[in-house]
Amino acid sequence: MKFNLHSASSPDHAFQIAAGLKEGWRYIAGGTDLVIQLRRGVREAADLIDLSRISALRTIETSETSFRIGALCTHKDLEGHAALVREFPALQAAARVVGGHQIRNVGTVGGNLANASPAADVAVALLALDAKVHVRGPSGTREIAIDDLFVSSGKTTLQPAEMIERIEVTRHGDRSRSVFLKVGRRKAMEISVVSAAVSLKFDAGGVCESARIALGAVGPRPLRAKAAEKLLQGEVVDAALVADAAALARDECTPRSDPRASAAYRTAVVEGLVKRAITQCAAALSR
Amino acid sequence: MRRGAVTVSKMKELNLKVNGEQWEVQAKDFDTLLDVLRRELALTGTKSNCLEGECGVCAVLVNGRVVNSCILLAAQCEGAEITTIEGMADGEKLHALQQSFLDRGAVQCGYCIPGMIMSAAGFLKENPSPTPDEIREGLCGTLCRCTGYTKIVEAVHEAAQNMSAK
Repeated sequence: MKFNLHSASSPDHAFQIAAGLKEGWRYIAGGTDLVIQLRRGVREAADLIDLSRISALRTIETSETSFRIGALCTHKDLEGHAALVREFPALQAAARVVGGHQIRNVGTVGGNLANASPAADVAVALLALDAKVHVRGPSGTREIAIDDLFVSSGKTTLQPAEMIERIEVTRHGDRSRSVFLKVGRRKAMEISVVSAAVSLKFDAGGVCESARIALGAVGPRPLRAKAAEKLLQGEVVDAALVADAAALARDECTPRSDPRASAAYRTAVVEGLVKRAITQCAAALSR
Repeated sequence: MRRGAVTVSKMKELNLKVNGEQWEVQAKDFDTLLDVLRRELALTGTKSNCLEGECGVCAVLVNGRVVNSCILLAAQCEGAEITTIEGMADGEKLHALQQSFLDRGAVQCGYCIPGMIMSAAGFLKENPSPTPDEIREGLCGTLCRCTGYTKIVEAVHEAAQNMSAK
């Protein structure tokens, strides 16, 4: 593991540094994935541009319509933000099961997205919340729907010098709710075998106005179960409908076998997990 | 000097406050905090093992928060306050966690204990009066391969009580 580290004081400073480097550089924030990948030789970089000093990207801004989470917020920053997690319980549930405390004190939300692991917990929760990803590059800013960020394991649609600045989640008021559930071999310090996040919004009459179902570790990237979402929309969510939606979600998965679990196990588990997540979410909304 | 494709970076100055003392040390860009603590400052209480952030025996506090020093780049700690196991005791007087680990016999081979104590110290700042289950979750990032968790959890519980009684 050998590289030169360049500390950036702002996004523009980072672009200036990047312009002077030969290809093969990377950004680093917390480094909890990247340093391990570099040491194992899974990724290589001759130069790293350190973003961790850009303190402006470590704030959570609240407005009437949304929360804007700085990409450099750690998982602990996220789980400890009372207003944010009250409104989006799925975010807290996901942030507090990422690694152990040592990882959550350092690993960042932006990194959880940019590293693009199909099993990334916070990424799955943000996918169910339809987050907008605010990206900055040398030629300006753009906004990406989170569903359009992930390509495959380790690959995103970010262009070479682009960085994630903020992640925005829209507030939907009292009639919306989110849930994140995870299955692993143990309760803590575990990479997800399967994860599911569900976000539902009901109208005043208890009819499902919108549904988002995101699944982790059952495909090459965090997945949306779009057929299952469509089934719930415009309907009163009862047990029979939940069972049908969970079966549809299962069929939308393309899990792989790896040392943590077989594809068959993941397929069996995801159906039950989705069923439970929708049921919990709907129950919280009808209370 | 060239090694492989990468021009090996020179030593740079790094300012760290370690266990209350200000240090100016020499570090390469790819040194981890663990490398600097053990090699430059000879603080070998912090252990080196998996080097992948899995086992937690390298845990130290950076600005009061527990981190794995094996995967944190030293250069990213410029200006930070670091506490290692060597900085826990106050002179001859052991920290409450060290004392309770001794009193409870929570140490088997001992290799994970500096990491366990630093993990517990970080965790107790966030949750000063935890239940035994919360302690188990709080220590989840540090592994004891002797599997001596029962007494470790008891020791942390006792230390928490002693610390909040003060």
